[in-house]
Amino acid sequence: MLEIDVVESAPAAAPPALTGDAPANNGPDIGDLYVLHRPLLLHIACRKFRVAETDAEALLQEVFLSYMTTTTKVENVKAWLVAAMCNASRHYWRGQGKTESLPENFDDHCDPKTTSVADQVAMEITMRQALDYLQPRCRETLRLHYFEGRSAVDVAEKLETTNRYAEKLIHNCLKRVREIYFSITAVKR
Amino acid sequence: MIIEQHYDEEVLAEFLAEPGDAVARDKHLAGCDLCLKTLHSLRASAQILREPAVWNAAPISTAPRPDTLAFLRGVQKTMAEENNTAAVWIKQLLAGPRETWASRLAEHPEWRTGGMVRALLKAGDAVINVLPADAVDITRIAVEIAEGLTAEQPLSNALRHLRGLAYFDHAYALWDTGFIAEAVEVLDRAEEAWEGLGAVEFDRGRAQVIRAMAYHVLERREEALQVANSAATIFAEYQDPDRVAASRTAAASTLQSVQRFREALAIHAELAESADISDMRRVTALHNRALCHHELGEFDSAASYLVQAIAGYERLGMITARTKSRWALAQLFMKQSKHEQAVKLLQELRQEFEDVGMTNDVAMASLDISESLLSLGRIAEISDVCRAAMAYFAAAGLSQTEPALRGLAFIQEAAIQGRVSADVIRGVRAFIQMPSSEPNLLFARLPEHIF
Repeated sequence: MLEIDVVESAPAAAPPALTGDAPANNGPDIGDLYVLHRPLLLHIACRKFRVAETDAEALLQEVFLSYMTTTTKVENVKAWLVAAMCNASRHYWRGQGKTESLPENFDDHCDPKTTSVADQVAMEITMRQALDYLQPRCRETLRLHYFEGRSAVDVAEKLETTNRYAEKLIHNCLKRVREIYFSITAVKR
Repeated sequence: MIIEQHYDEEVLAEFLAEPGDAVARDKHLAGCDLCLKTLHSLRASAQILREPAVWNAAPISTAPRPDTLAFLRGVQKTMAEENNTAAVWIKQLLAGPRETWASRLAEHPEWRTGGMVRALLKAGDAVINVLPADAVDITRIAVEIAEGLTAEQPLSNALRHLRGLAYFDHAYALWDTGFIAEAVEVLDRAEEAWEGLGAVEFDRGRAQVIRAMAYHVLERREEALQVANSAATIFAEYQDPDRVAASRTAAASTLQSVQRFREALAIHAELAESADISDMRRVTALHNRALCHHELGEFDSAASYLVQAIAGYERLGMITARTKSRWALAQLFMKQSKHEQAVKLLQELRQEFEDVGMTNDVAMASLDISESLLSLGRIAEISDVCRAAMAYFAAAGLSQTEPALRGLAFIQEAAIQGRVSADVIRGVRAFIQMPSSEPNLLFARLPEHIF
């Protein structure tokens, strides 16, 4: 129910009436929400927290049940679901943690001053898509340089080319993948 | 005409491998917002490309699972049906005085459903500000019903979640009515109900805010700070800035109570300037910021922020809150020995408190007026102020029970006898504010050494 306005000997502002907007009462169709947010939430569980996909689906169900059960107004549904999915995934690993090693970032909380988890994951999904459109050589160049952290000299050696050309390749491939990325995210008029 | 030249992406990309200060050392880049923005975007792209998830080629199924879809829609449909039925039952349950609710529920075992729990929580929410004692009973019934419900997996987790919410709402109602220790006990039960559940962190955060405020009252201040900060972290993750603000305000209140005004001020100042919280929270932060400045002796700043808070509450139509800010301003005038201005404002305020039936505040404002009149040497008027307030109490039917009335009578008598003093007024103020288990206690002045 209730939200409180916490003030020190100060205006006792009435708590906003919240139950009217609670998900269980007059929220949107839960199926539509599930269809809309499933790819993002599943990606969070499977990629960020490395939960197996079958287990992730069960967590997803738990998150949506929790969303339907909460009796208060949810300001930002997407952010709520993402945060709940992160918490459900952490909880999953705490349960598994007795027998398996935890992912390195399992206890990360998002910093409100930086990009949100939802935005970060959305960027990752989009970048993954953009990489699929690249020529294999270009994709390999970016993987070697950015993911494996190899220098241009290493990349040149690996690709059997000159250092100067490898540098050029790194720059051009980054430029190309960004073009594709922005074309995917561009608002259609 | 000079045409401005910018770096292209290839040149900017070379900065990605350079140390951080390379940007500051480059004359053009250091002063070019456009190039800096492009460089920032390039850095973000490079950062994403370092994430393992981007390079994980294993496909994730994108198609919704029909069984999950059907299950969730089925649950939502069942909940909606339960809610519709409960909407009728709850009117019958709460039709009479609250003493009859428990017996009526006992006559209707079919009313014990999840929908009824949700309906009761909604009903409790609706009355908490007008009939808080009713909210306590309504949420108690919600707890009783929730405790008796059973469900098989996978719905048993949802049921435990709902049961915890019933405890949470009951705890809030208890806190609101001053049963602080009881509220903490019930919050513990909410935590027990949620133990082992992975997706209820948001509601845990809500419970932590109430717990922080309860601990604050119980003077368990370190714990209050800890749970308030924990709640703020949770709500930040859920991107709920207003609840972050509520949590941080709870922490700031605790800091104020231990005289850590500078730290509290920093929190209120940040919230007052925050663009992503509601106007109500921002204006409240202005008010609280003013209170901290007041305590720190920074009276001009305090006055300035109170004036802003008063205007803000006026704009939002939050009249009671506006009145409290005006009262704080009047007390600031008193502190600055601007007693003429204080008396004028306090007289308006006392009238406002009378109009809305805030009896205790009528008495406290009368005491403030008396204190300022005393400072102005207008002793004769003190008796009139007390008489008017007592007349209000009598007209409101409060003549027998209100400690305020007895305190005011004492000051009036002292004024007539020419022995009213700041100590007398302070003593009466302490008497009125003191929680008393003896409602008919007569006011007697405390021994001098107490003051």
